[in-house]
Amino acid sequence: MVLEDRHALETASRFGVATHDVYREALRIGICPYRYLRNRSSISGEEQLRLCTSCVAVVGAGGLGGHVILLLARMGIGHIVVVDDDRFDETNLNRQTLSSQEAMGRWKAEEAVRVVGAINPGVRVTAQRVRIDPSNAEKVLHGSDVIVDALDNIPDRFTVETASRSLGIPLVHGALAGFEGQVMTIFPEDPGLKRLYGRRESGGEGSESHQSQGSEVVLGVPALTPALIAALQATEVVKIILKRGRLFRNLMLHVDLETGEILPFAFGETE
Amino acid sequence: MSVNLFLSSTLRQYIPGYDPSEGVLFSVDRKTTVSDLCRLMQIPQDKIKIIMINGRNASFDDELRGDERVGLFPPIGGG
Repeated sequence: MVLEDRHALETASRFGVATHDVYREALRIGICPYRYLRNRSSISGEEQLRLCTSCVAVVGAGGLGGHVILLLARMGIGHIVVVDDDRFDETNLNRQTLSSQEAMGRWKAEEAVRVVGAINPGVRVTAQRVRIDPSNAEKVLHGSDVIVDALDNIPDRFTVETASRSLGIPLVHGALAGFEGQVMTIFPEDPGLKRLYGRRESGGEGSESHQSQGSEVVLGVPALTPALIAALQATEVVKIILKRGRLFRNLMLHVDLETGEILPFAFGETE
Repeated sequence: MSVNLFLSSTLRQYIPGYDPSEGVLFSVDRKTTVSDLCRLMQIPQDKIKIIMINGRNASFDDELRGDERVGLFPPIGGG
């Protein structure tokens, strides 16, 4: 038995509830929203329900975050919290999939709400128009099942990691420069970002550890790389929620689009 | 003994004509460390954030044993 969107929307309207609630209750009694029919060979009804009842915070709605948000929305994640305090400008158009000519000047987090709403009304999207910092990170990220690091600078990534540890929430890191990128899944007990960037507290001002950006300053961020890195990040999110597959924990999955190589590089599990 | 060196992103600029598919194959003496290798190739150590030998995390002080793939990575933070 399937549930088409027009019936879900009618039901939501009649009972004064959100479409998301109709999807969730349909899945609970074994009715598949029609839009997820092509998922069914890979994702069971029970798994689709688990995605529907999950909340994922995506920090950064730019090159990586835009793709991650749309992929998670199409997969049927029930609630996506989008954290971004920036507006779209023309330099975003080369790669940021939520950007468009008509979106110039709009807040990225709010545009994510609009775009996802047009794709999948069964997904709740909450816009958090704030710059993540140590004073607000835990409050903003509290209640998520998974956090996605889709930021564009290194210090803010550490801020998100610190909050994810305090909250006990898994973090999926992604970063890129030129045609290369990396993904790492970090559980609260894992060494995490210091493996990739050095110890946060080890350097003084101006040291590599504290520099805000990496090779992307020289190599730029072309459209192709964020699409692939974001797809890998979104897959990690789904694997964490569904407890499936092998996660990229304690390793850096390194992607080089020019050579076509995707290689795991292993770190130890301890310090 | 021979070592195959692979460089990531901006580190590639330190070896003119670097081929990312092949890396650089060269001979080193026994007891050569990753640090020695960087000096030999004139790659500043402060530009390197991650060292991998045969796919596993290593340090500047680690000695090479030959027939290894050494990967050097700078920090990347774009999104």
